[in-house]
Amino acid sequence: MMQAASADDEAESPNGEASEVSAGVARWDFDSLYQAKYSDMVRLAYFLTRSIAQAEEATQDSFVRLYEQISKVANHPAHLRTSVVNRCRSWHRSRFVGLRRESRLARPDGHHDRRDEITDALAKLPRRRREVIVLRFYEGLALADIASLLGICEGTVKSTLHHGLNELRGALHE
Amino acid sequence: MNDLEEQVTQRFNVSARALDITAPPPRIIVERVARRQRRRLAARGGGAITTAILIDGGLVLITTRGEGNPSTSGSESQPPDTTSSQPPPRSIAGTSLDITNSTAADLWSCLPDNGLTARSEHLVVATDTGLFVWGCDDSLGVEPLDRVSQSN
Repeated sequence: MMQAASADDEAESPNGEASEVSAGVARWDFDSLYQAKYSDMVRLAYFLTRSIAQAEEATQDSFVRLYEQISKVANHPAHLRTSVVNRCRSWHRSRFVGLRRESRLARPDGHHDRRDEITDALAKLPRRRREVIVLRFYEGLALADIASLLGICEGTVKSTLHHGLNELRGALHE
Repeated sequence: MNDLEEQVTQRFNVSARALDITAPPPRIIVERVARRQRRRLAARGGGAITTAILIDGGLVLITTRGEGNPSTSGSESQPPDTTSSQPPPRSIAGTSLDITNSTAADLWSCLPDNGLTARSEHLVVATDTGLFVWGCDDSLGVEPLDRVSQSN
């Protein structure tokens, strides 16, 4: 089974020609990157977690890790994005375990901060489908980049996207 | 891109625009990095953090944090590490002068011992290319913490 690309090695992962990850060195000055990407990363994390507080936490944590390794990372924005996605995934895992321990009656989507159509629809999708949909249609990533970031093959991304869109179609028209 | 994909993209954009996100000052990140480093050091049995500051004229001030031994560099102070089980601090005056056989050094200076503890050693060497600052925390084994050079 393929493992999700870690934020550390993601920038060096081999990809297709159109891949942003392999598009070469994309080093930024930390302050510039922070100013330019902070809001985008919080939004990305929000779509994945449905919680603004958690989105900010995941984003800040990702910037902290990047700050510590900035000289070792080749593609800063891609590294940051991977880190945010991984942290959101970790949060879902820990939250799931916590909910199982505390109460089986707790709703898995009970922590969201605001409501809108797309986030409500996304909340009904399984985590993997939600990640693929967000990375494809919010981040605008190529299939190869999504595959690399999530540590799955491109075919899986395509099928996940297909099923995710079908589910989303139903959820959006409810 | 089909209609559904366009619709999804558009809804993402609308939702993203509605999110009012303001980035906190970058120092928040720097402070979190410092806290992580302190936690890591504490977990490794250290607890002392060393910073080296170069100022004009080659004077180097070292701040040793933790163990209740802040020196006078003017950096932020930190409360003593009260949870440490390390033995109480003792003076190491002259310890770093034992390392004198480097040919690169034409001038050695040992920092005042009153700000340092048995857990820390620091050495400042003026070389042809600048100042070499070497510091270690001996509770972690001998390894450089800071290495700073500055052109003369």
